[in-house]
Amino acid sequence: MSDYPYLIRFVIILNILLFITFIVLSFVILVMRLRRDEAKKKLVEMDKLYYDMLLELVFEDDFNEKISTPEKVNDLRRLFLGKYAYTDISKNALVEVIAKLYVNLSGDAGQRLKDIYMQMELYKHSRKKLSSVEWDIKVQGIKEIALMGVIAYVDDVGKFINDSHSIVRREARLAFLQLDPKNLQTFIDKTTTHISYWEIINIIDVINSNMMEYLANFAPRFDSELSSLVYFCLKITNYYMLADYAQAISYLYMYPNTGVKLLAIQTIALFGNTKMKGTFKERYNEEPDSVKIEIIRAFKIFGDEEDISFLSSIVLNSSANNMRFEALKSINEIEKMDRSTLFRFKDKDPELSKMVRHILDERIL
Amino acid sequence: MIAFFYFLKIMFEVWILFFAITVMSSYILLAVYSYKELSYYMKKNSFVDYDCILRSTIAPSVSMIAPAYNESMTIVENIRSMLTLYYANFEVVVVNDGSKDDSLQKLIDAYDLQPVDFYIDYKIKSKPIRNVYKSINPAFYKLTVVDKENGGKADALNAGMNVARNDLFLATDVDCIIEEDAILKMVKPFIEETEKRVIATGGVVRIANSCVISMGRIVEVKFPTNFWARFQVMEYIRAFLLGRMAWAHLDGLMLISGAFGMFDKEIAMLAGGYDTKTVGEDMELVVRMRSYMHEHDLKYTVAFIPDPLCWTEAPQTLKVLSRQRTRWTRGTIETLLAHKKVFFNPNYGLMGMLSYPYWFFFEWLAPILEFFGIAFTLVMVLIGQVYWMFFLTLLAAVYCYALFFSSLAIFAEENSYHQYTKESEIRKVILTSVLEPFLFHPLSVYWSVKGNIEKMRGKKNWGTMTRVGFAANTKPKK
Repeated sequence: MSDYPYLIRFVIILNILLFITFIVLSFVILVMRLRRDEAKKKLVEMDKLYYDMLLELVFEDDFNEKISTPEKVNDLRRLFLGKYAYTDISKNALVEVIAKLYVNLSGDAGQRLKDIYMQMELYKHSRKKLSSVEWDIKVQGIKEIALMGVIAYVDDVGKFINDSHSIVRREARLAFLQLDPKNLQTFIDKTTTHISYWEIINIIDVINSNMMEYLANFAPRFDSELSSLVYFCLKITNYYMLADYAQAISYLYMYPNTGVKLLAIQTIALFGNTKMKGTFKERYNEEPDSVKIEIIRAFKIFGDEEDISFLSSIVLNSSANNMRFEALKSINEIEKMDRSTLFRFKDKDPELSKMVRHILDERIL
Repeated sequence: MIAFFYFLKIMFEVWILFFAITVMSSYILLAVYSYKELSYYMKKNSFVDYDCILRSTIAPSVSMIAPAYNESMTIVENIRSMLTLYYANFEVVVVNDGSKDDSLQKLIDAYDLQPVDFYIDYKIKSKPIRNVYKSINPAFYKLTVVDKENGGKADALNAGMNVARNDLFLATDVDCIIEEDAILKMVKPFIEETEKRVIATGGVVRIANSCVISMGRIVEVKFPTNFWARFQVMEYIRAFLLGRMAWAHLDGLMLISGAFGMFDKEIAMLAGGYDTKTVGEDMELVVRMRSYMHEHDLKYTVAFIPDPLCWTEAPQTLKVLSRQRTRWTRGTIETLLAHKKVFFNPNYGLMGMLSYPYWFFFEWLAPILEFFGIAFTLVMVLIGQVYWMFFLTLLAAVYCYALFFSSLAIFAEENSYHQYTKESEIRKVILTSVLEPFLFHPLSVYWSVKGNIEKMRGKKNWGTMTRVGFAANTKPKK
């Protein structure tokens, strides 16, 4: 090989390296597959073992007896932690099994599972995860604390609600609300970073599933510069029909963010704030198309016959067919009984005729 | 004269070498970045509760648009599986693009369809719509069938967009098999972003040949038995797991597969909808939507999710495969030419400075250069101007690189979704990667060059895509 020029020698070495890498990677792929299958099998076995042990324990008649004294709790700890849960992996598996069971068991059995988690001080294991540098471990800890309802750590979780990592932040926000229903107010006051629509859906889900009292005072945050926070407050107000904020919301019609503005129009109509109708009509022509459509829809919700003339003017004068169609739909909703205006438009021009026929066709939902 | 010839020869060799090293390094960089992002996505996804969107009444509304042309064999069953996807707020818009078979009649009979007075605002031009059908059976209220004159896939999608009523639309093919939770997963990027508008999300398309299918769903993933389909599996894994993932996270994704992509309808319409003049309408739309956002100075992103959510049948014969690949090449050329203003234009951000040039040099020009490289080598062999030791060493280098890169792709697949559950199948995947550089890659280069020639000759049509169908792998209903 020493007879070959340097370039060839270099390429030959490169070839050998690439080929070895291919062989090694192929070998790793095959071994990895075997090891993964084995690990999966072990985990399933461990899960089953913990499931059986935990279920046996929580349904035992003398459960309370078994955790009645510190000595007996120590026995229990030794049974689980000493014998099986000696590593973090098995400790994690135990916590995971408890969490899974806890979701599915209610009443006494659920409470007993929580007692096991608390008495065996597994919450400390969960809390330790909060100080991990790895975001996924941190999230795991947050989730465990939330699921098992360790209220004592609510402040530890609260520290992450503006975290720079989006998933840590998201899970901390949800956990913070799950841990204590009263936290909605603190959450709103503390939040300084954006809230995504995904988070809003999740938070509403948490509120719904925890029957949380959502009586936070949103008004001071309606003028926040953080548009997503304003959107969040507005969405909650809209979703739970918190009509007390009807007045405060009317100002949001002028909010610079279009998403907030559209939702504000929707909410104003939902709360029947008819005082805003004049403003809507006045500003209609200056608004972009998306806002115009929302205003037309708002009049449908107001359902007032006196607005038919305004909507009719849109039908007759607008050059955009989608606005005309939307206005016709609103007119149809307002005068559902006689539909006289709609029938009047039916023969006005071929395009209007098609729109009216669509609206009248009840097979189209 | 001879000196000049030698000078040209050396220049060409140096240029080819430089080009090859750049292509190979860029692939490796993208692969490493993709792998990192893939691992992050897997971790991130393990904490997501998708049921939350499923339960939600405020989740975004989605229209699934599925163009159909002569799909009579499978259309009823495929639409049924689409209607049962896990998502609350969605509709399925099937566009019968002037099928010559009885696709429409089969739909009418199976779903109790009746023509309705549906108002269509032709915001985007499309061939005339003959009728819009809705079912009189409330169980199928989510279904809308549009019957229109034949105008091609892009035209059918435009018609579908005009009829669709929701904020997001999912463009797919009627013959694709879609995972039950596909919409849930595709919607997530749109509602996750807080500071930018997500204008589109691409999903992974996988090959369904030989997989076991029951009730319109994949129940067992199997490695294809067909020789050509096997190579395509390798290709798809490389492209989706090691390519698009990286481009998405660099925010430079220019292609979302036409078989499976979700779009922001408002932006897609503002950008003008699908271009009916190109056969690469999927890529063209993404580039146009991106250009629109840049030109209007709007913050945006194009997302990508690596979950295998859509399964399609890969061509099994060289004839059909050739038609597909030449069409893809023509589509790429047409898109690149239509948006040449983007080329190294800083006004178009990363797309202008990186993605477009990458596509131009490495997706369009690379196969042509490779072809000329092979031709040049043959000429050199004929005139006895080959330094064999160097030639063979370089040839081995290219082969070893191909092996190495494919093994990276298999490694990524194994570390993420490991779809092929049997060890024997993984061995087959590895074996395929060993054979691919000899048997499949030269054909890919040939089809690419053929696509360029067809484009120069002005060929415009799609060509017939004959499919075998999944009937042979379908488990009978109990």
